[in-house]
Amino acid sequence: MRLATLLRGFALSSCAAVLVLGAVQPSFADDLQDINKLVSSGQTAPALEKINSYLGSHPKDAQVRFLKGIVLTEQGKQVEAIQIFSALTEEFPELPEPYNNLAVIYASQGQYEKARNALELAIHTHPSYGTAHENLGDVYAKLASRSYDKALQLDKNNTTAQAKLSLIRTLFDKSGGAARAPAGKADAGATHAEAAAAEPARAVAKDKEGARPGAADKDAGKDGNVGSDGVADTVRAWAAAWSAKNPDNYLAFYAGDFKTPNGEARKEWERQRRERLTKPGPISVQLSDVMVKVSDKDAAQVSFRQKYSSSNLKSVNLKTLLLHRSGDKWLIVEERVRG
Amino acid sequence: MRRLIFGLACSGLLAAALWLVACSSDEQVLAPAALARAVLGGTDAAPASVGGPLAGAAARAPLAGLPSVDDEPAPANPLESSVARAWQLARRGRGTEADALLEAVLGQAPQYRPALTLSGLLHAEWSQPVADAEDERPPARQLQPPAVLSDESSVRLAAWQHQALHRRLLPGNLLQLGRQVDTVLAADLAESRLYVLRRDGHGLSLRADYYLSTGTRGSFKQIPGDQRTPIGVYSLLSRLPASQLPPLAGHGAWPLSFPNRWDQWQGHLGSGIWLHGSPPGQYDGLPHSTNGCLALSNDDLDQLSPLLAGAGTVLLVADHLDWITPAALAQRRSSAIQRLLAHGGHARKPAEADSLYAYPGDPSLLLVRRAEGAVGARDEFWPSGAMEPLAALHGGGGGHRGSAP
Repeated sequence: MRLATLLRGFALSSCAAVLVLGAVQPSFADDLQDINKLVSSGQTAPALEKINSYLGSHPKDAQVRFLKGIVLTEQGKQVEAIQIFSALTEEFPELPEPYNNLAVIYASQGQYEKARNALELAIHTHPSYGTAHENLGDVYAKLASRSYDKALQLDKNNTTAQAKLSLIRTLFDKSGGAARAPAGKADAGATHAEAAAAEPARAVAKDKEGARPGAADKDAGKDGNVGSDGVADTVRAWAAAWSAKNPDNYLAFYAGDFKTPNGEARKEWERQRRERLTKPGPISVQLSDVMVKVSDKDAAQVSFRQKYSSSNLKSVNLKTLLLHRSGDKWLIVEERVRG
Repeated sequence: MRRLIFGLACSGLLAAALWLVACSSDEQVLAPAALARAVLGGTDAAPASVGGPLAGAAARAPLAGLPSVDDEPAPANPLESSVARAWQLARRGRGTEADALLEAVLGQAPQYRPALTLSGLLHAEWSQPVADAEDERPPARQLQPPAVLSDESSVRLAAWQHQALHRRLLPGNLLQLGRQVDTVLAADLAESRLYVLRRDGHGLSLRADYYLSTGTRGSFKQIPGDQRTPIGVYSLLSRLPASQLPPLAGHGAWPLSFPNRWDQWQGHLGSGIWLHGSPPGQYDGLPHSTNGCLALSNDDLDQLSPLLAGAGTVLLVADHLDWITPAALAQRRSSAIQRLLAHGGHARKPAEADSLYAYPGDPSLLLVRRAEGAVGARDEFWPSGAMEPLAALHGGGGGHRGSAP
């Protein structure tokens, strides 16, 4: 069981957060970028030093306090980290990330009830927060096996590892920025969290656009998308074709050698998909947190959170599409759902 | 906040695997509720009013302030009835309410296994990855409870279901009860259940029932150390003095009159079969976990203890109790008496003050317990075809191997 993802970013979920961002100064971006670099390269001591010096002059800064919480968590200073994240939940109760990270610490201490409460608050603030959902699933799994152990009077607390949940690493959502950031550079495999975090204001603007189910990109698939930038557009167009219940357009996004989910024949799979897409009632597929990884010039991997809703099912899921370039198009060769 | 997966569906109450189906669409969430209604429908017919509690039971109301469900089963033990309700809630897709109820139960009794098991099942369900589109369900976590816990839940669920049905019925073994019998404790080993029937103005009626742990290796005790629970009709001897009480007996122990005359005739040996409580550190035992004794929770034992030492208390231990209507019981009684008289010779019709039992485990064997007669010779066992009752076969002495453990 994969148990860990420290949430790396604060999703921007409220006006309050927008105001926080609005106050950002250019020098802040530089400092934040430096701090982010130190944090992500694991240099916690210098990171903490820089954070403390920054907080000396900006004691209220939510994002840097959040980063401090992460650094302290990584240093194992749980009491201090809890103080910081708790204060952030009180001051910004609408943000899911501090709740999530509090839960991560509680779970690492085996305090699953507290972790559960914190995650439920995180999800309450942001119902489709994938990381918090995943973490909550992990906490429930631990609660379940702990109940069974208790019922059998087994004390496994000393022998079983505590749940390791996913910490969110930065305060601000980078979905739009990541999706549109130039890819295929030297660091092609990396996500663009740092770059996006350094440009929070831009990220906000993109996020709003990105939150819509790709309406503007409707015909992107047909027009073709050369270059890795086109990958994210292709995926959005795929979601739009799905939402539009247009099976021909939708199926056109799949490569001829697409790996069908259960190994069924392509024809059979296409038939099922047509049936699903054309059944009565509206379908809405919304993507967020789109992350693009381009592994070489002809292969890309796109991960995102997919919010699906039809007349009888609503679900939020983390999905990864593998795409190959084919002429001037990106085509889906594999579709994975992350549990 | 919307939890995506709420519903628990029981795959069939008597099925050994009590596994729960994840429900990801609204239609599916409705299905378990419909199933619950179908499975538990029988309880609608039997109002809970007959469950007139034993002395003091009314004061032990189920946990207050928690949601109630129509047609809920109501075992006498308040923790148990709360868990029964939690099961119903969970099956109806009301998992959050079930969870709150279980939390309250575990606050009172942190080791109460049925609550821990259901809580585990709910949380395991909620831990599942969120469903994607209809045909894209992600792989489920494997968090099924250990088999012993599933088995226990199956047993308890089945008993809760039956309980309401039993309310207007009587165990088919009780063909005739002499006036001196005022209490029958009827153990159904397959159900892990002890039913308490008491005599009132209208005859015998079911008053309460309790979860019961019995022999690790099943029933039909034959030799010492076989870890089986004897099958038969017994009385309870005097409560063991506290100084002789081992910790495993919990709040008290009452030895059974095993082996009785029939056991002796059959060559069944052994001793030290008790009705007792639960050891410190556990609320009650797994269904099959004793050395042959019948074990209750201490709460239930305390509630029952005023009845246990009574001279009018009879203990009936059966693999399966056969519950029938009083009318069917009357019919069965007349044909049993015909059968008895057909033995000829020494067979006498039971007087009104006598008791007549269809012996558990052998429907053709009749036990006549005479109100009058020499001590030790009041029990007559009539195997099919015998020309004389067992007491006469044995020379009427009785109890020559000693009946006290």
